[in-house]
Amino acid sequence: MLEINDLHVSIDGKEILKGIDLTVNAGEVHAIMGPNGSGKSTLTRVLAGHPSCRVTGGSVTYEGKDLLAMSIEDRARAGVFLAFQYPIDIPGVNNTYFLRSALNEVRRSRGLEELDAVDFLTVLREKMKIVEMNESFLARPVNEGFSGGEKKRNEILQMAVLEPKLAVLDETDSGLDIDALRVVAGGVNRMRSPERAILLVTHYQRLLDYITPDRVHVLMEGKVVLSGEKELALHLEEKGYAWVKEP
Amino acid sequence: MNDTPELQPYVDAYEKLSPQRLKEPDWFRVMRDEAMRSFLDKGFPKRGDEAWRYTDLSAVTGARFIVEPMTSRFVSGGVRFLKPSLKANFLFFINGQFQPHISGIPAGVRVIPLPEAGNDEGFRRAITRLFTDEMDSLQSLNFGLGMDGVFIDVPDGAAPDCPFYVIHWSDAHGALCQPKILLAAGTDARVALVEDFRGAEGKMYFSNTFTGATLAKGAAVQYYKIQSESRASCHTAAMKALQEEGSDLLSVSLAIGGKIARHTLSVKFGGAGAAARVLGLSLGADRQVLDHVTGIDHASPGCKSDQLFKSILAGAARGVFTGKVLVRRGAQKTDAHQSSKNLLLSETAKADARPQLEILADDVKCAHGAAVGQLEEDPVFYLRSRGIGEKEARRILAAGFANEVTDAIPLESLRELAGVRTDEKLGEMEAEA
Repeated sequence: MLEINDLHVSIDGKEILKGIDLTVNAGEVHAIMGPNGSGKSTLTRVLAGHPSCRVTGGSVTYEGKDLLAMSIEDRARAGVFLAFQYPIDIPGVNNTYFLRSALNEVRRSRGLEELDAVDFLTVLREKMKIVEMNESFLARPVNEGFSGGEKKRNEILQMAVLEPKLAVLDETDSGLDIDALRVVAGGVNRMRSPERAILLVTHYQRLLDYITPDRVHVLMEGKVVLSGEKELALHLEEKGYAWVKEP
Repeated sequence: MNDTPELQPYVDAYEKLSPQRLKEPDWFRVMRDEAMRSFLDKGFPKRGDEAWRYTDLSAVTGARFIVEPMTSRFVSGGVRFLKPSLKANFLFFINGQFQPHISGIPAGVRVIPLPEAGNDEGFRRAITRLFTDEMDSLQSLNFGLGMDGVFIDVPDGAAPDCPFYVIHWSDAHGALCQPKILLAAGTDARVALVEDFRGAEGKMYFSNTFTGATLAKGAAVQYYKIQSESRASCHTAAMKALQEEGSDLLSVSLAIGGKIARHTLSVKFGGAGAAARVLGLSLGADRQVLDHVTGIDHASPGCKSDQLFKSILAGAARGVFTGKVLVRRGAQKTDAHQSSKNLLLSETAKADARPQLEILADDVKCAHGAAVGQLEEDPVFYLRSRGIGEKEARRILAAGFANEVTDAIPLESLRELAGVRTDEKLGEMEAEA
């Protein structure tokens, strides 16, 4: 589904990703771990098409297509979803309206009929159960005045509504208390399916107590330095990232 | 007296009106004379006037307007199509003339057309309080030459179950439309007044209107204005509220139409514990100049004013906000807040914000802020990353920016109407972004 080859990315003229290779197949959950500043967030952002990321080399192929040549919205319409580490406040824009606009754009691009307000609400209520979200969030402006945990739940809700093929989660566990973490992880687990790939970016192992990855990769200084099975995450937790560097 | 030839037509018009003026009671005639004198003295605002620094009225002052009542291309019943679908007591004006036969007047409230109001004691009390020497020359022009209008008298404790909705329709090229709407809200009365200005596109006319409200003790007034005049027209409106003890005003002004438009709002707190929440939104396209001026006079202690004025500007449009707050000596425990936020959608659009605070009391809470900027890129990215196209993302964000003003309208049907008008204009502005 996703194939990253020798990807080099600079931000503000500084090279952050220095040759990433990664292959993710449908149905798999991959965890990307690494210390701060290793390039984890940049990797998620370049996949979503953030304008600050300048690709200086390599390629990203998504379902056989050149992902890097696609616009931000076309990536989303093709099924790529990024759950933001720091979700953006959108003052004055109602959460329900936002979600319906997004879903209808995605549906339109897939040749499906748009949902009207009533049908959409039925879908939305169903999805909200997944993240145990209160109805009062629907009438509020997107992310405005939400606590950190509420914002992360809102990201997972968006993911559940848009039903992406490739979900990229950027430190969705950061800043969550244990209850919120359980809810968010539960939401992600319910999204697991043979047709969907999930890329989990995380600093800590604790998220992986709830979501069992198929593969774990360690990112350091802009490169994948180690890949392994889920046990690798436990090993990292125990020994710290410095251990990877040791010969 | 200002002896300029451009004012001669107004002198002539005043003469022509003398048969009508003679029918008015003495005190009214004296007021008119005084207003007319003041207008001729000051003349139209000039480019050099500090209060008109960004808003050039020379297009108006150079033009010849027709002061006499002008007929509309509509048989007056035809303007009913302008009625939005909401529950209200509709009052119609065509080219500045009140249309009593098609207007709805509910029981329990007196709505008196201006020519007949002269003998009404309530009207006399209200208008003499609102007529002061602080008026600018345009307000004087309205008081001097404006013959038509209505007086709405809401008695003590009354609360009409739906708003008064005034539709001002103008379609006569060269018309000078000068209606006056006066609202007297009695003790603890609750009332909502809407003014909706519409015009035939392409018609060059001049609306110079006056709206006055007196709020007795404990009264609550909501005032909404939607200005969608013809884009060839000039619109200058003054709204003045006199608030007594514990009264409450909510005022929302949407500036959408007009070539040059200014809305001036003055509030005077004449009793303790009164509050005014005042909001405005200007949506400018092309070469429109949309100007909001406020003056909040904290003349009594313990009053609260909260102002939010926003503009979204595309093309080569210009938005102006001038916000005066005066806290008089002795107006302790004043709480005054003012904010101006401006969103520029093009390189050539321009916004100016001028806060003017004069604080003469020491135990007060006053804050103001002004911001001018473009749409931030992070929210655009966020929306696009959810599949929303770039143009649509920018439209949604601009609408969200506007919503902060329209969301303050508690009447749902009216909030929706304001949203529709806002979206229409934003759709047009998108092309100029």
